Amino acid sequence: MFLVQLKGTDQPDLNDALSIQFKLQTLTYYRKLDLPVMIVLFHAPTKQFFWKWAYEVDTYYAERGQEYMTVRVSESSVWQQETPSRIERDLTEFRDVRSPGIDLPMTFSLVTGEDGFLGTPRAAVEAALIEAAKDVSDVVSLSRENLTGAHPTIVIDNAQIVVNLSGLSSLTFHTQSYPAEFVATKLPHDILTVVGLVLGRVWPLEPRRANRM
Amino acid sequence: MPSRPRSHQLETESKREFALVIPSRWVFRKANPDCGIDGQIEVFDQDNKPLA
Repeated sequence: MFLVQLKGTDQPDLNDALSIQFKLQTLTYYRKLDLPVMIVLFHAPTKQFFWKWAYEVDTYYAERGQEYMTVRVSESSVWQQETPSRIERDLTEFRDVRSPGIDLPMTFSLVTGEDGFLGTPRAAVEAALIEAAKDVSDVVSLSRENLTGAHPTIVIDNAQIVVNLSGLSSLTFHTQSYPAEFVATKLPHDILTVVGLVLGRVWPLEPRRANRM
Repeated sequence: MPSRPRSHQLETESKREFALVIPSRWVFRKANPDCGIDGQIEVFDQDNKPLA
């Protein structure tokens, strides 16, 4: 099951049409809901639909006091015949990730930009992260293989690191001012901390367990 | 006689067209648009079992 917010536009220029205005408050509200929210744009001139999951919207760059923000939908996200199958796969993943009986460790795909991160080559960044994750190998494992559809990912580029738990929960770690000398040492542990926060949102500790800590 | 705003027409049109692109085994239920949600979709798989 999922929720839908439909928007329509008469804008003939597709590039302009794919930008949608949203109240920031609404986008924040979507994150608090138990069901995933899909944003769907109807382009009336071509009668095409474009879609994205609301969790994919990053509100970080919205300025303080800003009431609205522009959400950009990709031209490649046009609704096609195979789109429902893709959505069903995503929903199955959402259900499995949320299940208390899920098999651990959970595997996150590492997706690092070709340029690496802040001057450190991609292979070195990923190797450091994979090494650090060995300490928590009962909960998390990392893979260089990136699958299609919703699945746990850690996306690393020079501006930000996004830890995404199959769309159910995600945190963006903005890194423009991250010290480059810590990339091989501190960064992997910072990323794993973010992974822990993301997992904690989906599987909160039971009160009895929390009291024992 | 007051005319119907284009935004309302577009809303109706988009809902009608969207109902045509989703599989017939999915069920679209209207929600309260004041919450920023237009509807809820219950998804049934190929065997007509509810998904998620």
